[in-house]
Amino acid sequence: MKEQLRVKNEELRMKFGVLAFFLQLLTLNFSLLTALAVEVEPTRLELKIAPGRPVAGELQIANKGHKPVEVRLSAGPYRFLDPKLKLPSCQEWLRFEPARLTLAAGASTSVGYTVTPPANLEVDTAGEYLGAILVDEHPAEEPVNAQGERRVEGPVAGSSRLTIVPRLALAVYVMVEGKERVEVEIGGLKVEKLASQAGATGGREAAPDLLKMSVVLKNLGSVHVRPAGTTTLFQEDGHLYHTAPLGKSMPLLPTATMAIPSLLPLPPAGRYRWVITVEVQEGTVLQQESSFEVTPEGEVVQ
Amino acid sequence: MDMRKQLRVKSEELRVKTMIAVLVFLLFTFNSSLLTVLLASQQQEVYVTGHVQPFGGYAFTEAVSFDITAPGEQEIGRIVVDGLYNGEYPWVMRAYTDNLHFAGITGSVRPPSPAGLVSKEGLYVIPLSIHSPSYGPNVWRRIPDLSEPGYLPYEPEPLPGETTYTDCVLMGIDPRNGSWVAGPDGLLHTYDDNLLGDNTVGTPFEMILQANVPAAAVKGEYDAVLYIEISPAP
Repeated sequence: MKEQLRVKNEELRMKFGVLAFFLQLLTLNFSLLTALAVEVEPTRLELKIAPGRPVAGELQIANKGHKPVEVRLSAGPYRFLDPKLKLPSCQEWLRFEPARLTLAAGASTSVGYTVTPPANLEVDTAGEYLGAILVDEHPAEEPVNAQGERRVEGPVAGSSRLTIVPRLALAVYVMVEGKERVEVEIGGLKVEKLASQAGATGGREAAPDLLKMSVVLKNLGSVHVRPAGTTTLFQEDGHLYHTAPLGKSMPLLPTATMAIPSLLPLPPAGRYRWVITVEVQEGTVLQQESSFEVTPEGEVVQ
Repeated sequence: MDMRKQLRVKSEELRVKTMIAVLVFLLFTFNSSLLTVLLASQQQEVYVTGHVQPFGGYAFTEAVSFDITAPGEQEIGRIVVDGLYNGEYPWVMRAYTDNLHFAGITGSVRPPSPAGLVSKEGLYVIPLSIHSPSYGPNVWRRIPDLSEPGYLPYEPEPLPGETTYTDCVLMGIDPRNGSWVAGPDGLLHTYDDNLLGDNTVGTPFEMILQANVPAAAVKGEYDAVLYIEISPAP
């Protein structure tokens, strides 16, 4: 009986794992699909621009909803990255044609954008500028009735009204040709023990103590990079103990510092060699190593 | 509790989790009314109703209309969010007003960038707060204005902890496999309680809007534009 229940338990655990895996695939891996009833592609722009020479392109906008919408495009500051960095803005360089359009249900169209840098861009020292394209979705205006009144969508029960406008804020990176400089350094490797916390597993069985290994990256260049890489642990005798990808990071902006943590269960007592490999951009790889000891008492000494 | 009983309880717990996962999986995969799935070792039929758009994107309530009558907290409406956002992670959904750029009612005397509802003549402001199911029960967050003094936009953190932003984040997904989502295997989401993301919920769901009417506010007409912004992966 005990064995039967154990087998059943394992069987259910496997099924749950498979379903969870599919669910993650569904939610994470369809990157081209965007938000709202209005969809926009691409969802970010990374452009190179020469002083005095505007760059133009197109956004594809589709109304996936069941009613007409009015789409309004404007430029704004980008607000999803470190606000303390104060990167120069390209907000004033962005123009759209048309900047306002009505899309029928199921319809799609293209909107042209132009990025026009100022004439004095050459004298500026910055290598990259940041801004946002704001795509707002408003209800399409309904025709007026015989009394000249405009029919208002939504409930009209009260005298006050809060209009809800879904908005997409798309990042725009503008790099200046001749001023792009990629330079990233590893600013430190830190190893520490992360004691298990109650509730860390959401009520499941107790979480183990963790080893937290952080690599600090500093962008000394003039343009953003998207670092990727691996973290690898070797035992004292040279055997591979653990290797894992660093995981997805945010773009590392010029002048920014980023600490990328990776975690694993606290290894058994012994000495370890930790090698971190960071690919800053294609063909540019940084590598650094450090060593530490896990004491028999379960403490970590770097 | 003896070993056999422990295993039975565990087995039941896993069965419930499996059923929930099956239902969520089906809800997000099909728009069908009758689906057959394998549960445990026997075949069962699970009825699924509703109108989830498989990958159609979000749809929002367009507006809420209400009367401001008395001081105090007042629910003014609900925003229904339907569909599914499948964008590349990390992403964030947040709410704010932008009253500096909101023309509002022509001729109004508007104070600079008050957060919330503004009265017709621009003299009174009613702060807004919002509840999202991802916050947990009875948790409300103030809705800021983009141009108010001290507004600090959300910045994704590599690890949970200190939060200095004043943004009203409704939901989102974290940038990397931090400790709160990665398990002993170092893989994304093996610790995650919420398999849809780190701060997300399944749809459709409702967000509740609340006006916090100050005693000084007067009965009358108020309005504002509430932006529900999604910032896709930067």
